[in-house]
Parts: sequence; C-alpha cells; structure tokens
Amino acid sequence: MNAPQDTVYRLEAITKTYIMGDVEVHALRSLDFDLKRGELLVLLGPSGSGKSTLLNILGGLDTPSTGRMFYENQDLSAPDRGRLTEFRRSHVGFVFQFYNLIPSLTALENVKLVTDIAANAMDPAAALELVGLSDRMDHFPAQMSGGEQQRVAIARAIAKQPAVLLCDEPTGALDVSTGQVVLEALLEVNRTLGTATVIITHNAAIGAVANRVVRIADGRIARVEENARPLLPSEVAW
Amino acid sequence: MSLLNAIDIKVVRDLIRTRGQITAIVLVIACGVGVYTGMNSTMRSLESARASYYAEHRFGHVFVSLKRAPESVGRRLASVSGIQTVQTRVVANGTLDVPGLLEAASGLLVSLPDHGRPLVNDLRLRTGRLPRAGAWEEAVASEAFMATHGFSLGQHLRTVIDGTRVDLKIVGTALSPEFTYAAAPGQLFPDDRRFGVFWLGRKALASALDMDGAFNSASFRIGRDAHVDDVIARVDSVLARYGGLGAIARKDQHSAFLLENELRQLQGFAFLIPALFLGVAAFLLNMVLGRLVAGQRGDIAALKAFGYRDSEVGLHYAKLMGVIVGLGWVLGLVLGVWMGAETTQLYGSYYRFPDLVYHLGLRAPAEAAVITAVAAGVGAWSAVRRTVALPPAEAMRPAAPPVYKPSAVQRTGLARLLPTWAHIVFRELERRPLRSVLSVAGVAMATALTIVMAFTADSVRYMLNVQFGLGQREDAQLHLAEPRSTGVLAELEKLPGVLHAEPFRSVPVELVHGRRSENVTISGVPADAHLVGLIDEGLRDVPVAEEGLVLSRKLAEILGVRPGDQLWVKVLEGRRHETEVPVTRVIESFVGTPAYMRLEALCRLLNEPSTLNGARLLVDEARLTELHRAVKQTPGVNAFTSRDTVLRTVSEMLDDNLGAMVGVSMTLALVMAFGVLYNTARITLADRARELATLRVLGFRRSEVAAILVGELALVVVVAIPLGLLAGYGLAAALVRSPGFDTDQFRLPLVVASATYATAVLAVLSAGIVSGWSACRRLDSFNIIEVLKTRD
Repeated sequence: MNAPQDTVYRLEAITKTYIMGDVEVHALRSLDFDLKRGELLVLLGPSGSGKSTLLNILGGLDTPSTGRMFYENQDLSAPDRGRLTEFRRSHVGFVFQFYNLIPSLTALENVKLVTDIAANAMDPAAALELVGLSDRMDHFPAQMSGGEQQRVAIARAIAKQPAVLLCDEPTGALDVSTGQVVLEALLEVNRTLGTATVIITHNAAIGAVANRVVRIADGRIARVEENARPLLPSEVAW
Repeated sequence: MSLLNAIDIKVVRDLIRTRGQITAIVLVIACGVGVYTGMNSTMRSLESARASYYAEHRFGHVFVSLKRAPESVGRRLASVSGIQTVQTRVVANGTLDVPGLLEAASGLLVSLPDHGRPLVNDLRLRTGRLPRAGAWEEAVASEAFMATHGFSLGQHLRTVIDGTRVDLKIVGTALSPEFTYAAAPGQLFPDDRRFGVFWLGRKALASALDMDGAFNSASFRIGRDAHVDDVIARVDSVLARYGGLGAIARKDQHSAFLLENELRQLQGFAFLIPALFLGVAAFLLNMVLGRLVAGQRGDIAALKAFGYRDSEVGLHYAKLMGVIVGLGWVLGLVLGVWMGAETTQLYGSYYRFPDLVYHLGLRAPAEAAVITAVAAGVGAWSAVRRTVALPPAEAMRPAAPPVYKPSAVQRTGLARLLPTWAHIVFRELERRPLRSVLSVAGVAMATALTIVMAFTADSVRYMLNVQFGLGQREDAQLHLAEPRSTGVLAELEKLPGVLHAEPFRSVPVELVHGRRSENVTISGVPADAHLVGLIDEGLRDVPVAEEGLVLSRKLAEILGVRPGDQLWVKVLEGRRHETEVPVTRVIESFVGTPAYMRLEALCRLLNEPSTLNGARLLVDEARLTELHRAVKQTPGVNAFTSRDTVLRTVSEMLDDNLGAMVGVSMTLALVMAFGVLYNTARITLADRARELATLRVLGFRRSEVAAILVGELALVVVVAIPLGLLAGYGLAAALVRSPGFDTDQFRLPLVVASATYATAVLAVLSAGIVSGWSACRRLDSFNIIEVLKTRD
C-alpha cells in the first residue's frame, strides 16, 4: 500500500503492549497517525499517555506490537535492529529533554560525531550557526547553559539533514525564556530546511506554535487540532 | 527481628549486582593469597623438615677432604678449639656396572664406622640393615638409586674402586643429610640412574683403597659459640701437610648449598608474585568501589538524611570489602594448600627428606590475611572516603560535571586524522589519568609476570646449550683415578670406538688475591685443544695463552681480579707448590667457577713431568656400546660421562617441570590481566552507558559503539604490552642478579626467548578479548530508552 506523496509517516492501527511482570501495560491502543512533509506537529498528553512510546516507535527505537508503520513507503513495522539503526542513521534526528551531549566532546565535535557517519551531512559549523551558536563551537557541554546545550543537541540532530526531527520534551528542563529560544531554533530549522518536526510535550501552551496539535490520552488519539495561524514562540508563555 | 539489618541486605544485593566484577577481584586476591600461602608454607615445610633432619642426623657444620692422614690426626682434630665432634672416614669414587644400564654409573663410596653409628652425618636407614662388621662386600645404597633401578635388597653390583674390583651386596637403603640433593659432586642436576651413594664398612673400604688406619675425609660438628671460619682455618692448618683440600662450611656443602639456594629462590618468588597480585587487587577494589559509591551518591545522602552516621555508612562499604577479601582469602587458601602440597611433593622428589610432610600452618594464612586486608583497605578507603564524608544536602545533588580539556593527542595536531568518536576515548583516558595509568600498570604487570615466571626455562636452556654445545665439544669424558704420564693417552685412543683423545689435568688449588681466596680446580688443556670450548661473553672462542690463568667471570669477581693481575696459586696436592701466576683472560661460564691453564704450564707449576688425569673423547657413535663395555672393564678409570646422556637427562627433567611452570604462570597472568581488563571494561560501560546509548540513538551501529568501548581497552592493552615486556625483562634481569640465581655454583644467564614474549602477549591479549567481548555482549542487553530518560 502506498502512502500519499506528501506524507512522511503513516501508522495504521498501531498497538504497543509491555509485559511488566504479571501486568500487561497497553501503552498504545490501535492508533492511526500520519505526519506530513515539512509539518511541525506537537504531540500533547499527560505522562503515561503513550506519547513517548509513539515517539520511540517513530524514531526506530522501539517496534509496535501490532499494526503497520510506513516511512516513505517502506514498511518499518517489524524490521530487524540493524535496519532500524540504518534508518536512524540516515533519516531521523533526535532531541532529548536532557540534551544527551557527549561531555568529553566540544559543541562542534558533538555535531561532527553525527556528520562523520551521515551521507548527506551539513557542515557542522553551519548547523551550529543555524541555532545561533557560532561563537560557542569550541566549548564543552559543561561550559554551556542548559539552553545552549539544547541548541547544540538540535544542531546535532539536524546536521545530517534528516527528513524527520523528533523532540522529546525539548524545553522540559528549561525556564520559559530559554525554552522560547530553543523553540525558535526548532522553528528556524523547520522553516529553512523543511524538516518535518514532531515535538512531544505535556505543556499545552507549546501547541500554539505548531501546524497541528495531536492530543493523546490512554494510548489513543483523543483530538486533532489544525492551527491556521501558528504563533511565534515569543508570543507563547507557560 | 530479621536476621540482617536492611543495610546489610544492601551489602548482599550490591554483591549480587556486581558479581562479575567481584568475581574478578576475588580471583586476583585468591591468586595472591594462594601463591603467598602456597609458597611460604612450602618453604616452611621444607625448612622444618630440613631442621629436624639435620639435627636428628647430626649433619656436619664443617667438611674437609684430604689426601691421606693417619687416624691419630683425627684425634688431634678433636682437640681443636671449637670442634665438638669429629667423624673421620674414607671416601672414594667408583664405577659401577649396573645391570640394565649400558654405560658405567658412578658411585660415591663412603665408609661407616665398623661399630656404632657415624658421630656426624648419620644415615636414615629406610630398608634393610647396616653392613655387618667384617662383611666386606656388604653396602647400604642411596634409596633413590635403588628405587630408580627397581633393585631390591640382596642386589649385587660389580664395582671398581681405585682399580680394585669389588662385588657389592646391597643390604640396606638409606638417606643422608649430606645427600639431600643427590647430584654427583660438581653436578647441578641429580641423575639417579647414573649416580648413587654407597656406604661400606670402614675396614672394607679402607682395605680396597689401601687406607688402613688412615682417612681422607672428615666432618665436624662445632660448639654453639664457635665461629665456622675460625674452625675452618684451624682444620686447614692441621691438615695442610696431609694434603688437605680446604675445609668448607655447611653453607658451601654441595647439597646443603643447593637446598638453601632453592629456598631463597622460593622466598623471592613468594614475596614478588603476591605483591604484584595484591597491588592489582587494591587498585581494582578502588576502581569498583569508587564506581559503586559514585552510583550510590543519592542512596548515601538518603541514609545520612535518615540519621545514619558517617561511620555506619563507611562500615557498610567496609563490610562489602570484607566479604570480597574474605572470599578471596578462603579461595586463596584452598589454592594455596593445593599448590603447597603439590610443590612440596615436587621438591620432595629432588630433595630427599625422610619426613617431608606438607603443613599449611597458621602463620602463612594469618600473614596473607593481614597483608590482603591492608592492601584492600588502602584501595577501598581511598575510593569511599570522600563520598561518605559529604554532607547529605551536597550528596543529594548530582556530582559536578567532569571537566574535559582538549587531549594531548589533539594538541599534537594528530586530531585531524582521528574520527570524532576517538576523541571520546582519548579524553576519557586523560580525564582520569591515575585510573588509566593504573590500568596500564596492572596489565603491564600481568605481562611482566608471565615473563618473570617463564624466562628461567629459556635461561636454563641457553645455559645448557652454551655449556654442552659450545663448552663441551667432546662426546664423552673419562676421569682417571690417579694422574698418569701422557703415554697413557695412546692406550685410551686404542679403546674401541675412540676416534680422538685429548688429555686434561685437573689440580685442586687455592687461589689467593690479597685477602680474598677461593678453592678451585685448575684444568690444564693442551695447546691444540679442540674439544674444550672457552668462550667470552659474545660466545667467541678464547685461546689459552702459553702462560697464565684463564678465569671464569664469577671466579674473577670473587677474587676481585682483572686480566693482568697476579694471583698467588697454592697447589693442594702433591708437594703443594706455591707460586705467582698472572691472569690472562676472563671467560664466560654459567656453571661452577672453573679456571684453565695450558697443560704444559700447569705441569711446570706442579713441578712434574707431563701428566694427565682424564681425557675428552671423540667417539664413533656406532661403537658406543662397545666403548661402554670396555670402560667398565678398565681399572683406573673413575668416571665416564657421555655428554648426550647428561644433556638428555637434564632436558627431560626441565621439560617435566618447566611445562607445569609455564602453565601456572600463564594462568596467573590471565587472571591478573582479566581482572584488570574486565573491570576496566565494565566500569567504562557503567560510566558511559548514557553516552553509548545516545550514540546508538543517533544512528551509530552496534559495532561502532562497541569500537569506542573496546577502543579504550585496546588502548590500555596496546600501551601496556610493550611496557610489560620491558618490565618483565627488567625484573628478569634483577632476578638473575639476585643471590638465589647468581651463585658460585651456577649463574642464570639473562635470556628471554621470543616464545616467552609471545606467551605473555598471548595471555594478555586473550584476557583483553574475553573482557571486551563480555562488555560488548552487555551492549545488546541495555535498554537505550531507559538510559536516555534518566538524568546523569
């Protein structure tokens, strides 16, 4: 089955069940989802709603228990681990709540780490320039603020020019004004590179900057809202 | 009430959780404790067996050989100040025609008093009885000789003693403290097939040697306050006119010397090897506990917030260490007892004691416990001290992030050549320089350990090759009972199978240089000698100059002389001439302290016409059997040794023991290298789980992430191996210069074969591969999503 041309991901009746001892935890219950090319999408939901599980499946860190997932017409429902690694290596960029920079590498080297192994990579310095960090390239993570570290993480995620950027609570560890700067960076990337971006958060206010907001509750999609006129991050407060 | 406090349950859980690493440390401690208790208890078992053996059998303190003295001189010796007991006796060399043995065996024939037991050097009769007075042919034989040939009491042995044929009847077997190590006089290795000691009645032996009413050997026990050197001087002065060959102290008596030397070697190893192991164990405990404590920073804060005192938290980790040390100690004792019992038995097959029993004793285990606890305590204390002392509020907060700097590699500009991930490896190693240095040191020690334990095999083989390959170029050596004129050479050449005979003359002398002196044998060799090889350090042939002495390096050292110096030579036989002779050359020799002169020059020094008392022979191999048979029938021939037989016997003995030695050293090195590398790998994995998981998420392949993990190990191994090889060579060099290996009787040359280096490298590499593999296997099992969710 072919996905429409403007769709990056198409998920059909995805379920994810974890066995925790004697208990079965249903993280996702028959979920349908798609992501359009160049779209900025916010996944909203309280903790335990299944949003992280969805993000992990989208990023090839986890596989669905049942259902099918297509990425650019490729069926990634149950591929082997090696193929998932190759998928992450070429197509997906990740941004985490706690940045996950390598402490022993400078900002530039953290970005280079990814461009070293990517086929169609940007110049690492250009990636840092895009997130406004040209003057911090030779700093180690411990020498930078949380916001700066997160922007390095964004530069690292987009430097390989991925089709999708997946962000797990990217502003979760930051104060409001720093969070706004980080959101600016994500939007800038989305605008200039046209990278389809998924941001998961439990912070409803952030939904205002997205093209589309998908609310998840109890492993299902509860509501989808289209944003005709997304706000600028500076207009959002939480 | 529960049997265990909650905090003790935590000890148990921590142990279970880190069981792989704990096991590695326990094994390292067990090796240290095992080697320490095994070797020390062996040493003490041997020392105690020796002490009671020497005491119960009245082993002599001073020994002397002489040409001949009337029995009245023996009574004069008894009155010499310091001497408590004298036993005079008759001793002779004989050749034996042993059934089932092609060549002639050599026997040392020692007289027993006709009535009562020897006052000095008593026998321990093992089977049968002593010779009856007047029963001239009866003899007691050394137990090992009888056992090796499978002879039983009543066995007859045809013997030639000083040209006289005697048919000995063996009526008993015995051990003697004089021959604990039963090597033929001057030989380093025992050969129970071709050498035996035989005790005969004094009258019987004396009449065969024409020594009635006289003696040619005496042993003394001295008083508690007497000084050995004074007694020796007095004995020498009494016996000078009776052809005294210079008295020696017990410490220089062949068997006693070799036994003592063996014990000192054992003592050296028993210190060195456990020290290496316990040093490594301290480091490993430091590393593993340090990591554990860092991971439990929050737990410690919580415990303290609940009101646990610093000392209670400290005690918690002390218990953890105590369990590790305790397990290592118990396992080490098991290993030690097994090792001790085996080594004691092995020693027992070379050093014949009547009552050699292996005792573990309390001392070695207790010492091992204390030493291990101290080493482990130092390692553990430095690991937990700082964290345990933190105020709870501070401990609640995560530790300050580590500070990184551009690495040295980067500063050299090599950085451009390296992939980005390689910087992670270099910076990590540089950030914890002490841990990196200690890891390298631990692996280097393991490499060195293999070399130190295995190189002696190479050295002994080299020594044999030089000794028998370059030094002794003859096929056989023949010793005459008495010096004869050179005319006898023609007769020897007529023996069947003899292609060429080269004469030699050996003379016992005392060499004196200033205050230093040494009793040795000068060997006279003909000008055109081909069968004796004198070589220098570079193994080049050294000619013997027309005049002057050629000394072995050790002898030159003892006397403090160099070529060009003059030596005072006191001949200890015949008319006992004394004269000054220059030293012309110094040669290399690993066995004994030989000295050489031109045969003609030596005869001039003796003031006698050209004589010889032995010959080196080239033999037609096809007629060897015939030659052996003929020699057995020839009176006046005291000993006949064929070079290949000696070489074969010694090589077999070496192969038997050294194989086991190499096996043990490989195992020890493997345990040490594995302990270090496995823990390094596991700690790297634990410290860097988050980074490695991040890399996996970023799309790094498993193999690429494994490369970072293994890269650090590989770097440690690559740096450690050459250092370890150097250290091994250095330790070996120090060892061959230590008293146990650099002796008057033999010197171990410093030779480390490429195979030994290869073995060391192989042991360490295999430990590295196993450690790396086990760490990589864990990469599969860790959950990358979980790791990413947690904050550092």
